Amino acid sequence: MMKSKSRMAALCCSLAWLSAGIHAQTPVCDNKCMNAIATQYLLDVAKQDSSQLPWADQVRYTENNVGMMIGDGFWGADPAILGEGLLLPDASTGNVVWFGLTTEHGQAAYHGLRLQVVNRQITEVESYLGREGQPEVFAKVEGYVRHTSFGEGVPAGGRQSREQLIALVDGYFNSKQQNNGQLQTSFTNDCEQKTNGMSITSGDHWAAKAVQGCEAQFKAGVFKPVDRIRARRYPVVNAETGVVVALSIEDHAARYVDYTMLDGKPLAVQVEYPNSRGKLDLFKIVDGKISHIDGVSVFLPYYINSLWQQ
Amino acid sequence: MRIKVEHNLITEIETIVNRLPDMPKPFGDPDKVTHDPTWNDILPPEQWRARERLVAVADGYFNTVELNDGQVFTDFTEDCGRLENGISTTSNGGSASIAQGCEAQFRLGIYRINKRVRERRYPLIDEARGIVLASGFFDHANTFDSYKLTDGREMKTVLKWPNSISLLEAFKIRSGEISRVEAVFTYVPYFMPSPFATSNVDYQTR
Repeated sequence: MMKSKSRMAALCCSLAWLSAGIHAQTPVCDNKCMNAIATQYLLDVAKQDSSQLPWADQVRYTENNVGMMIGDGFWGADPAILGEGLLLPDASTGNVVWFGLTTEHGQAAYHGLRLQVVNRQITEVESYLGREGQPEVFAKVEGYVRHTSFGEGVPAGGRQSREQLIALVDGYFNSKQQNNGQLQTSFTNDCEQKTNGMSITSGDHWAAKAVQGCEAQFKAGVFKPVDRIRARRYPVVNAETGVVVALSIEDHAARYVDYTMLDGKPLAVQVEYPNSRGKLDLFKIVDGKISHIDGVSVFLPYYINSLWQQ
Repeated sequence: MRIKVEHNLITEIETIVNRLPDMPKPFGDPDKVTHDPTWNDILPPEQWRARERLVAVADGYFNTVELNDGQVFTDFTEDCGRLENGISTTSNGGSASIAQGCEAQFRLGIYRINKRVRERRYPLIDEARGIVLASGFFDHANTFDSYKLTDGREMKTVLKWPNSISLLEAFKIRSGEISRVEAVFTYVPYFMPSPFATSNVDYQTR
């Protein structure tokens, strides 16, 4: 995919406006300040110039769960930001996540980025790039639309506490690993999930061909081959929008290649050798139910250690 | 697969498994792969070289792969051949369609995309057979997506984004010249370290 100059120009203007907030002298970095730093990061990575960013003395940088020097990896591969993406700050944890599309030498990827900001300086950078060509689902970005609800507030009556929101997402992971039909979370009837732009709950995805819908898939045991979901973290939780950003590693031990759903229908394991997936997912929760999930998934060597959590 | 044995007990197992599906890479039909019988040959004494020299020759191979620009830091026999994941990459298709033979390919700079050959280890050396087994990573930073061979032809990188390959690679070395190379490799996330190696990356040059 080639960069769209008009889209890039629009992005630059809006990002430049946001980035002006970095230098505002508030005592702590609030959400506006977090967004400004993330915005400046995106502008500067596209320029391949890290010299003006507010780095802390010690910075940890990972890309697809591998530590490396700033300037290497995505920074060095002719990077560009495609469209505006979504900024998700959480000043209470010092984290801001950006979820959007990027390109390397013109080839698009789904990109989840987490920055940790301490004393208005960047201390951590954690990126996941869902690129085309890996043995993982990928939908062409031209048809990708992020659901608008991720940027919208939840009416006061439908909000949950931080703890409740995390519990619902953790319950999602508990339900998915060794998926046996027991549901430990709640979904809306129209719940939809996307990974690397592809709908998992409808359309041509193998799981959707078997069963459609979040709850129906989980109750059918579609995800039985997921052995573990570990290294779960929740760096951004927003009770007002009902959005939780979750990071995790999903292990597929591939001990078998065929299995049956709870109704007895056969399914085939998609990758017949042990593998893991590094994931950054956004969960939208309304009235105590997960309504939308959208995220980046990266194919990783099986059981690779998380660099961020054991 | 590498197994380390101490006091008759297994202390380490390291495997590199080339599997499908994966990103574009050689994958030979397992039922048709044959290993060159010369790997088992005991060399005549005059063709033996000391362990240090055998490692130097293999290390020179990696130095040649790294930033491959036509400069060759090791020696090859004229009939040198390389098998990668069960496919000959020095004859018949793939890289061999651009140039055939170990040295000719390196002189042409086919493998320019290798920014680093990292965390090199040489855990097995057999002087009598002239074999060095090496492990390491080839880092494809993909800071560029096209490059020129030394004869001026333009090449395009297959993948556009940073990636690495993790490999076990064996060298058969006769009289100080590499005659056979055989490797198993698989893609891993860019710059992933080995749990067995100590990082030797020079961060000044990255």
